[in-house]
Amino acid sequence: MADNLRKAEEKAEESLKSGGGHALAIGFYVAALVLIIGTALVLYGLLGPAAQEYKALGININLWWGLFMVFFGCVVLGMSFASPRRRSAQNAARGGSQNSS
Amino acid sequence: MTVLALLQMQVDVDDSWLDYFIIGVYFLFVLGIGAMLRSRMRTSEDYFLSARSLPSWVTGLAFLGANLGALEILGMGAGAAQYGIMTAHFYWIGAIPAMVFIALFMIPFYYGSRVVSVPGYLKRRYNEATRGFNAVLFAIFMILLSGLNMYAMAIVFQLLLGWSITASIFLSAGIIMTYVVLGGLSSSIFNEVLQFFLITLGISPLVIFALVAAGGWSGLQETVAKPEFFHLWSNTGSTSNPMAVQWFAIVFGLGFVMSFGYWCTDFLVVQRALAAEDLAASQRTPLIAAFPKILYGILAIFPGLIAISLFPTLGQSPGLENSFNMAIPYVMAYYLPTGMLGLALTALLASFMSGMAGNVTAFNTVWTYDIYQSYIRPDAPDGHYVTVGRIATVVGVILSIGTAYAVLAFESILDYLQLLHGIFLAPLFATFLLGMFWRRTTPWGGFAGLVSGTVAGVVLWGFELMGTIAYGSPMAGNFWRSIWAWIICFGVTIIVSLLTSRSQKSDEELEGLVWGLTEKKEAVEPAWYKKPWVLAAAALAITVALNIIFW
Repeated sequence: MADNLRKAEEKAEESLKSGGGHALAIGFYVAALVLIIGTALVLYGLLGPAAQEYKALGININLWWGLFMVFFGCVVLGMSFASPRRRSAQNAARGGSQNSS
Repeated sequence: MTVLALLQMQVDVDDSWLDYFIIGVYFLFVLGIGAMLRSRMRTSEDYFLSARSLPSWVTGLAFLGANLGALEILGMGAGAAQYGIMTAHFYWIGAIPAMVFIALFMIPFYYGSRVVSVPGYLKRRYNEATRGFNAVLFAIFMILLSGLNMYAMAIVFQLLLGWSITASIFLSAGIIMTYVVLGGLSSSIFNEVLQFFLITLGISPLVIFALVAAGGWSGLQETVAKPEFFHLWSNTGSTSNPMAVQWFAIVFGLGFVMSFGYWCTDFLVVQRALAAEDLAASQRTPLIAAFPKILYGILAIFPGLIAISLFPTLGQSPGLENSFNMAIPYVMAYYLPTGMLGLALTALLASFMSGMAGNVTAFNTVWTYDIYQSYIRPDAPDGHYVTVGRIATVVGVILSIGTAYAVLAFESILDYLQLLHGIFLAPLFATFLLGMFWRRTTPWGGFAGLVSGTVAGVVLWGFELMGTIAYGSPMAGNFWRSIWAWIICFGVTIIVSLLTSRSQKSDEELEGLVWGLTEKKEAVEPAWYKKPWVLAAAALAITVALNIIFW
C-alpha cells in the first residue's frame, strides 16, 4: 500500500514536471512577482511622502495601481490553483493510489 | 533625484530606493527561474525545445514576449514620435496578417516535419549548402540583435539612473548568461511570459495617464498640432506623409515582405511555437499572441505621440539625449513618481533582457544543431550537445557585448533593426514561400536565390550609404530595399529552378515539407473557441476595424 502510494506520488510528480508542471509553475511565478511589486507600491502609496502625487496629476498612482496589481496577482494565483492541469495531476495521483489499493 | 537636460527643457527623474528594490526583486525572480529549471534539463530536446511540453497560453505569451524586445518599446515609441500613428502599420498591416498566416499555413509544416530549426527545414527541403549559408547568417543576425537589446537597455539606464553604458551592458550580459546557461529554452520562455505581464502592467498606466493629461484623443491631436500624424492611410495616395511612402510600399514592403519574413521565418519566434505540447497548441501559439499584439499597437505607439506633445523639440538636434529613441523613457520620467517609475523601468529592463535572451537561445540552438553537429562533430553523445549549447550561450553573450558597442554608430534603433530584417529575413521569406508552395523549386534554385537576395540587400544598402540611391525617409529605404531583396531572391530561385534538376529530391523526401505533397492533417481541437480559424477570423476583424477607425 505504502509502496503503491509512493508510486502514485512519483507519477503525479512526473506529470507536474512535464507540461502541467511548467504551466503551473509559471502561473505561480507571475502571481508572486506581481503581488510583491503590487504590495510594495501600495505600502509606499500609503506611507511614503506626499510629494509622490506631485508628478502624477495629483493622483496617488502608487496606491491605486498597486491595488490593481494585488488584485490581478490574486486572480492569476486563483487561476493557477484552479487550473485543470493541476487538478488532473492531483486526480492522477489519487486515482492511481485508489486503483492499486 | 536626477535632472535630465533635454534641449531647453528639463525633466526631473524621481528615483529612490523603492525603484532599486523593484528591479532587485525582478532579478531575483529571473535567476530563481533558471535555478529551478536546471534540474529538469535532462536531454538536448529538453534544453532546446522544452521537450515540446508547454501549453499554448505559455508559448503564445512567450511568442509575443520574444518579440517585445527593444524594438517594441523604445523603437516603436521612437517611430511614433518620428512618423506618427503610421508606425502602427507595423502592427495592424504588418504583424497580425503575418501571424495569422504562420498559424494557419506554416506551423503545420514546421511542427509536422519535427525540424528543430529553420536551417533544419532548409536542409530537408533544399540542400546542405542552403542550410549552412542560412545558419551562419542567422547566427550573425542573432548576435547583432542581441547587441541592439543590450545597447538599448544601457542608454535608458545611463540617461535615467546615471549608470554607465559599460556597467549596464555587463550587468545585463551576466544575468542573461546565467539564466540561459542554467535553464535553456524553458528558462527563456518562462521569463518571456513574466516579462509580458510586467511590460503590460508597466506601460499601461503611462498611456492612461498621458491621455487623461492631454484631454483624451482629440486633446492629444490639438496639442501635437500635426494632423498628418494621426492618419494611417488617408495620406498614402502620395509620398506627402510622415513616412514618405505610398500605400503600395506599405502593403507590399511592410505588410507582405518584411512582416511575413519576420514572423514566418525568424526562428526566434518560430521556436516558441514548436515548444507547444501538440499541433493544435502550436497553431494556437501565434494566434494567442496576436490579440495582445493588436493592443500593443496602442500601448507602444501612444507614448511616442504623447512624447512629441510634451517635448516638441525631440529629434531635432544631434545627440543621444535628443534622439527619438528617448521618447518613451522621457514620458516615463515626466509622469511617473518613484515606485511606478521602478515598475516601468523593470518592464523596460525585462523587455531588453527577454529580447536578448531570445536571441541568445536561438543562436545557441542554430549553432549547436546546424553548425556544430552538422559540420564539426556529428556523432557525439546527446549530453555533449547540451554542454556545447551552454558554451555557445557564453560565447554568444560575449560576442553580443561587442555588437552592442557597434550600435553606437547608429542614431535610430528602429531604422537599424529594419535594416537587419530587410537584409536577413526578406530574401529568406521568398525561399520559404517557393519551397513550401512550389514543388518544382530545386535545391540549387533555393540556394542561388537566397544568396543573391541577401547580396542584393547588402549592395542596395551600400548604394544608399554612398548616396547613389536616396529615399524620402530611412523607413521608405527599408521598405523598398526589402521589396527588391525579396523580388531578386524570388526571381533567381525560379530561374535557377527551371534550369536545374529536381532529381536530387524525390517526392517521398519532400513529403511533409511541400504543400502539394503533404497530406492535410486537421489539428484535433474539440472546443470551437480554440479552433485556429475562429481565433484567426477574430484577430483579423479587430485589425480591420482599427485600420478603419484610424484611417
